[in-house]
Amino acid sequence: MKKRAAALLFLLLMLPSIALASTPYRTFTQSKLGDLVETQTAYEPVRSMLAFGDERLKTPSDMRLAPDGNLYICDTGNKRILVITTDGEFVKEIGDKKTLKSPKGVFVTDNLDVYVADENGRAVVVFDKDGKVINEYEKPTHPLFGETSPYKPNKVVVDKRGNLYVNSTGNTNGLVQLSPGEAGGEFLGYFGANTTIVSFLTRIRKAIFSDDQLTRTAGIVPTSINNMAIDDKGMIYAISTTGDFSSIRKLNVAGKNILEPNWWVTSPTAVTTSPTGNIFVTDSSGYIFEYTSEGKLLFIFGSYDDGQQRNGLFLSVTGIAVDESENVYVLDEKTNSIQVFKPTEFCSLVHRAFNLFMNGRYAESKEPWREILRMNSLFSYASIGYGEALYREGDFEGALAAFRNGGNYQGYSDAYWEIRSNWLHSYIGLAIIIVVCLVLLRVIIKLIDKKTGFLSPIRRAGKAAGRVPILRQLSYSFTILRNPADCMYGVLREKRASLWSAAVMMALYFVFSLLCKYSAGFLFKNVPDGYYNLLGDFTEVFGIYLLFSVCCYLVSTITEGEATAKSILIGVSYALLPVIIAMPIKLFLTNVLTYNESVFISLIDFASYGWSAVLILLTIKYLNDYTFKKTLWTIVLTAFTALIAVALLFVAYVLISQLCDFIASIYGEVVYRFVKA
Amino acid sequence: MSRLRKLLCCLLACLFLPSLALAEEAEAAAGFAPPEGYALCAESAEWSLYLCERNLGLIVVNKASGKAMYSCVTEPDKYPGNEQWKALYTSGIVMDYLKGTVIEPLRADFQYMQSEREFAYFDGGFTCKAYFPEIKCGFTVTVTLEDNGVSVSIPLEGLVQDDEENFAISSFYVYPFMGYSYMGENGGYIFIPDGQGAIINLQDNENRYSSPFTATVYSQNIGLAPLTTGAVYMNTSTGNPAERIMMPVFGIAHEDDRLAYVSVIESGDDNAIIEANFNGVSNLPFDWAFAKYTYRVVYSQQTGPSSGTVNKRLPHINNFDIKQHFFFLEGDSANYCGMAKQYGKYLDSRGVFEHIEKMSDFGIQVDMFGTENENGMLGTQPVVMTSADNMAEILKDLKARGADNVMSVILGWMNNGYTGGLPLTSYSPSGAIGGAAGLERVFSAARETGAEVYLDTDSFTMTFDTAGMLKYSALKKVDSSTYTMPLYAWVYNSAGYLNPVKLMEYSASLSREYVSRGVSGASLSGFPQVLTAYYLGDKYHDKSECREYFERSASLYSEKLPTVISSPSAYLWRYARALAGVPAAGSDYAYTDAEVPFLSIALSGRIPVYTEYVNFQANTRRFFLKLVEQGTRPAFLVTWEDPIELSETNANWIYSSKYELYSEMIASWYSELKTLHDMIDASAIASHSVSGAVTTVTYDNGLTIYLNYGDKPAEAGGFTLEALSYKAVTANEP
Repeated sequence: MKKRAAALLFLLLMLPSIALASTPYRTFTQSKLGDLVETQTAYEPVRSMLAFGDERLKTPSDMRLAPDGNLYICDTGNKRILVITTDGEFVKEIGDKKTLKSPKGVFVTDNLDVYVADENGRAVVVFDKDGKVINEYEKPTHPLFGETSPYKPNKVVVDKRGNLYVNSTGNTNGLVQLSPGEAGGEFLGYFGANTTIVSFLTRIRKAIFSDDQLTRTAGIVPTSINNMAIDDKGMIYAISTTGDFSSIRKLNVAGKNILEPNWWVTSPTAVTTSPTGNIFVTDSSGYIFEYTSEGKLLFIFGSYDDGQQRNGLFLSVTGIAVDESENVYVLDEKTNSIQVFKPTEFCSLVHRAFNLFMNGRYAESKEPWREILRMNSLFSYASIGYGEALYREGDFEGALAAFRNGGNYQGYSDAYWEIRSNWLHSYIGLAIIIVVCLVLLRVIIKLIDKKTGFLSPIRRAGKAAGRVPILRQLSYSFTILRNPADCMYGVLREKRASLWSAAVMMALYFVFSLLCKYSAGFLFKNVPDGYYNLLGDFTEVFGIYLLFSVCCYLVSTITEGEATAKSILIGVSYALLPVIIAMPIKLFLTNVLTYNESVFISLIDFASYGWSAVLILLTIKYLNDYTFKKTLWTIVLTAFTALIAVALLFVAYVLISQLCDFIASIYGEVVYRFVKA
Repeated sequence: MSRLRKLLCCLLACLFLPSLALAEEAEAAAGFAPPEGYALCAESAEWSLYLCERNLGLIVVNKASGKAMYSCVTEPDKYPGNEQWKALYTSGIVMDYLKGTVIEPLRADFQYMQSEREFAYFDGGFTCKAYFPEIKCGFTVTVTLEDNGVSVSIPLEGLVQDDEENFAISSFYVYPFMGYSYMGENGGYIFIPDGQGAIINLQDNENRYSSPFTATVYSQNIGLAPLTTGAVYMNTSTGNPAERIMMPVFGIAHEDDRLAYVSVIESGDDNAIIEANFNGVSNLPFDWAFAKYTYRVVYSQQTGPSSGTVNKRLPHINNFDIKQHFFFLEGDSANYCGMAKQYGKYLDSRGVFEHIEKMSDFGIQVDMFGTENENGMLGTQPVVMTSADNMAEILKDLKARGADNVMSVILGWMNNGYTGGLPLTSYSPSGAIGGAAGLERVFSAARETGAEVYLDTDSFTMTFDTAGMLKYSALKKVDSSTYTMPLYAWVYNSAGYLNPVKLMEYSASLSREYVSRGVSGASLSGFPQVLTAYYLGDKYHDKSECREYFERSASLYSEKLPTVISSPSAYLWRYARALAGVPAAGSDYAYTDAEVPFLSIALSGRIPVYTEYVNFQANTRRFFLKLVEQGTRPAFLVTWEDPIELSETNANWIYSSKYELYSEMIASWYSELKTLHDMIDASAIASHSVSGAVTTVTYDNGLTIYLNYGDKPAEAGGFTLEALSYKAVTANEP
C-alpha cells in the first residue's frame, strides 16, 4: 500500500496541473520609477522535496549544484554532505560524524572534489568524489592572518586555479584566501572585505570623547559576509547585511566590487548565478531576487510562510541553486526541504529577450520585447529594450514613447535630441521667415502708429493701469533688482508696497514653483508622474516664508533693528523676484532641452536663487539698518529661532494627538459598556 | 520518521495485520460484524447504519460489499493523543463550551465528561437528547439514514444552556472522524473544496506537516478576526491570499474499499469551518476531515485606539440550525468524480439552477475597463481607458472576428472611476467615457451583435477617500471599530465595506434605476466574496443575518434583470445566470497532492462558468489546456488604451489588457473552444482521471478528451499527444 501511495505521490508531484495553481506570492519587477510593480508569475513552485529515499535533512545550511548535475547539500544536523539528483533521488552521502563536526558550507569543483567548511572543526575538509578525505585546510599560521583572528569556516568557494576563499564566522577582515596545497595551503591574504562607514555621530563621538570613553564604545568594524558564490569566470559574489547597495557585491580577482545593483537586499542569506549569468539572492524573509548579470532587478518572488504551508513560501532559506533549464532549487533549513521552481513561459521570454539584448542583438530582441509588452505593458525593461531596438531602426518617435514608459532618461534624451534635430532641419527656414516677418510687422506697426496714433488707446490703458495701487506696487518690486537699498527705503518709509502686493508675489512664486515641479519636461521633472502634494507644497512655501519672516522680525526687535513685521514680509517676497522671473523661462526650457544642454537650466537655477538669496540678505540689512556682520548674525539667530518654533509646534501636535487618543478611549469604553445583545 | 518509530510500526503491523485480514475475510463471508457496543439502528436498500449509544458513534456499512466507514476509533487506547484529541475520535458529536470569558473553549464529549442521553428511535434513524450536568448544557441530535446517505441535524431550539452566565455553548464537531483512516492504510484521499477542488492522499506523511487545512466556509469572519494583510514588502502587499471556500463540501474516499462519502453542509454553512487533518498533524496518526460549527466565541474588545482590551463573549448565540448530509458512494462512484456528480445532484434537488432553463451556447467573457482616477494637481482626474464608443467598437469587432456569443462586464463605468466610484449607490455613468448616452450606445451595439453586456455593480466595497458621508454607514466590526483595509496604492489609500442594511437599500434603488434606464444586466461583485458578523445600531449581528441581506440584495437584481455574479459563494448561485471569476486552480498547499476539477464537474451542464482573466496568466498554453479540461469558459479584460496609462492609479494591477493586442487571441480561443464545446453538446463530465502528465476527461455523450500537460510528447488512448496539446475523440471515432 505504501509503495503504491509513494508511486502515486511521485506521479502526482510530477503533475503540471500543480504548477498551474495560484502561487501564494505575487511576483514583482522594478517599475520605471524604481519601485515595485506586479508582473506575471515568473517562477512557479512545482514540487517540494522532503525525503530522498530513506534520507531526510536536518537543519541543512548550504547547497550547490555540481558539474555532475547533482545537488550537494550541507546537511549540518546530520554532519554530512548529502548528494541527490535534481529529481530528489538519493545518490550518496559524503563525510560523517568522524570527519565532520559542524559542516556549514559546501563547494564542488569541476573534478567533483568536495570542499566542506567545517565550522566547529575549524577547517575546510576536502573529499574526493568517492568520499575519501584528501586534504584539510586548517587555521593559517601566517602572521598577517592575525593570531587572534577567528578561523571558523562557514562557507567556501574555490576558483579554477584551486585557490580557496573561506568565509569565517566572526572574522570581519574579509574572505580568507588560501592557495591550494597538500599541506593545507598558504594564506594569500584577506579578500573582499566590506568597507566601514563612519557615521556623522561617530565623527562627533571621536571628536569629543576621551580615549578611555572611546574604548568603551562599540568599535567600527566592517560587516561580515553572509554567503558567497563563484561563477565560471571566477567572479565571486558576496552578500552581506550592510543595509545598502553593497549588500550584493561581484568581486573581481583583485577583490574589487564591479556590480552596481539597482535594488538592495536587506538581509541576504544565499546567492548563486544561473548558467546565463543572472544572479539569484535570497533573504531572511523568504523573498528570492533575480538580477541580471549587470545587477538590474528582474523579479522578486517567494515569501515568508506564516503558517499557510503553501508551496513557494519559506521559513529560513540557506541555499539556492539554478540548473541549465533555469529551474530554481531553494533550501529551507527549518522545513528541511528543497522547493523547486520552474520558469514560466513569461519568464523564459524575458530571459531570451535579455540575452539577445545583452549580446547586442537589438533587432532580434525587438519581437520578444514586444511580446513581453503585450503580456505586461508596465515591464519597464521591455520598454527600454523595445525602445533601444526602435531607436536603432530610426523610429525615434516610437523609441521616445518606449523610453518614457521604461523610465530611461538618457535614451529619452537621445531620442528627443534626434526628433528635435529633425524638426529643426525641417522647419528652420520657416522659423527664420516667421521671425523676419514679425520684426517687419513690428516696424510697420510702429510706423503706422507714428502717423495715425492708432495704439494710443492701448497706451492710455497702460497708464491707467499704472495708477491702480496694486499694479503700481507690483511694478515697484522691480526696483529691488536695480537698487535694493532704494526699494527697501520705499517699502519701509514711503509705503510704496503693501501686504497685498507681497501676497501676490508669493502667490506667483507658489504657482510658478508648482508649474516647474509638476509640469516640467520629462527629463527635468523631479517628481514622478501622478504624484501631487499641493498641501505639502503650500505648507513648504508659505510655512517657510512666514516662519522666516516672523522669526526674523522677532530677532530684529531685540537686536535694535528698525524693520517692521510688514516690511520684512514685503521685503522677503520682493527678494524672490529673480526666481519668479526665471521660473517661466526654466519651465519652457525643461520642455525643449535635452540632457546635452542641461547646463542652461542649472545656470538659471544658480543665478536666480543666488540672486534672491543675496537680495534677502540685503533686504534684512537695509530694513534694519544693520552692518553686514550684524545681518549675518541676525540670520543665524533667525534660523535658531525657527528651529525652536518647529520644536514647539511638534510638542503641541503630540499633546493634541494624545488628547484625541484619550477621547477615543473613552468612546471605546462607552461602547463596551452599552453594547446590546 | 525515526528508525525506532518505523520499527514499532512494522512490529505492530506484524502483530495485527494477519488478525485483521482474517477478521476481514470472516466479515465478508458472514456479513458485517459490528464492534462491541454497536447495534443496527436503521437500514436502507444499500446501507446499514449501526449506532453506539455510549458515544453516539456511527458505522455506515455498504450491504453489498460489507465495507464500512466508522465515525469513531473503536480501540482508542491503542493510539496517542491527550483528552482533547481523544474526545474527538471517541465521540460522534463533540461540543466545545465557553467558561466565563476565557478565550479558549473547553471540550464536552461522551468519553471524558459525564453525560445523560435519551434516545428515541424512529423508522430510519434516531433522536438523542444529550445533557452534560457538569456544565448544564445539552443538545438534541437527529440522525437519519436515507437512500444515499446519512443526515445529521442539531436544531438551534434543541440547545440547552441552563447556566449561560458561566457555561455557554461554543461550537459543535459533527462526526469529525467519519471515514477516518489510520496512517493512510485505507488508500485513498481527503477531498477539500480549495479552488476547483484538491485531494490529500491517505498516506504516511512521516510528520512532514505541522498544521491541518482549515478554512472558513465562504469567507473569513472579518468582523471578528484581526485584519490580516499578508506579507508586505516595501509598502507593497506581496502575498496572494488562499482561495476562498466557495462550496460547503468535503469528502473522504477509501479507494481500497471502493467506498467514499461527500459531506454537504445544508444548514449552518455560514458559521462553519472545514478542516482536514492528516496523520502527523498534532502528533495524531489519523487522517480525518470535518465541519465545525461556531455558535459563540470570546473576543477581545478594544477599549482604546492604541491599547486596552477586555475579553467579551458574543452578546448572543449565532442563530442557525446544523444540518449536515453525508452522501455515501460505493464502487465506481467512490471517487472525486462521483462526489462532484453527487454534489451536482444535490444542487438540482434543492432547485439551485431551476432558473436556468437551458444552458447558453458556448461564450467568451470579454470585460471592458472604462475609467479610473489618477492624481491631478487639483484633486483627481479620470484616465479614460475605454470610452463608450470604443466599447461599442470592440463588440462589433469581436462579432466580425467570429465571436458570436460574448458576455461582457463593463468595469469602471461610473463617476470617479473603478476605485473612486465605490460604493455604487446610483446609476451615474462617468462623463469621461461618454455618460449615460454613451452607455446606451454600448447597449445598442450589444443588441446588434448579440452580446450580453452587464454593468459591474459593487455597492458593498467602499473607498473611504471618496465616500463622503457614507463613511458613517461603513461596516463595523463586532468590537464597533470600522473595518478598514489598506490598499497600498497611489491614489486611494484605504477601503472598507458598507453595512449590509445600507447595501440592501442601495440594491433596491439601483436595481430599479437600472431597469428604468434600460441597463441590460448587472454583474454583482464585492459582497459575494464576503460574509461576516458585524456591529450596527448598538447590536451584534451574526453571519446568518448578513447572509440574509446579501441574498435579498442579489435577488433584487436577479428578479428584475439578467444577473451574473463574480466569484460567488454557493448560497448565491441560485441568483446568477452565469458564474464569473471562478478559479481555475487552488491555493497550492504543500500537503495537497493534486487538484481536481470538482467544481467544474459539479456545475457541468448546469450553469455557464467563466474563469479568472487570461491576461494575467504567465503560462497561457497551460491555462488554455486547463479550460479544455474543466470545460469552463475563458475571460479576458480589455482596454482600448495601453494599460501603462493606469500605472499611477489604483488599478495598476492591470498591466496587460490592450484590446488591439488581444483581439486575435480572443478570436482564436473562441473558435477553438467553441468547436470543442459543440462536441460536448451540453453533456456533463462523466469521468476524470490523471496519469502522469496526461489527463483524460470523458463526457456523458462518449466524448473523450486527452490532455498532455507535459513538456514532452506522451501516449494516451492510442494517440501520441504533442507536448502541451490535447485531442478530443468522439464516441464514434475508433
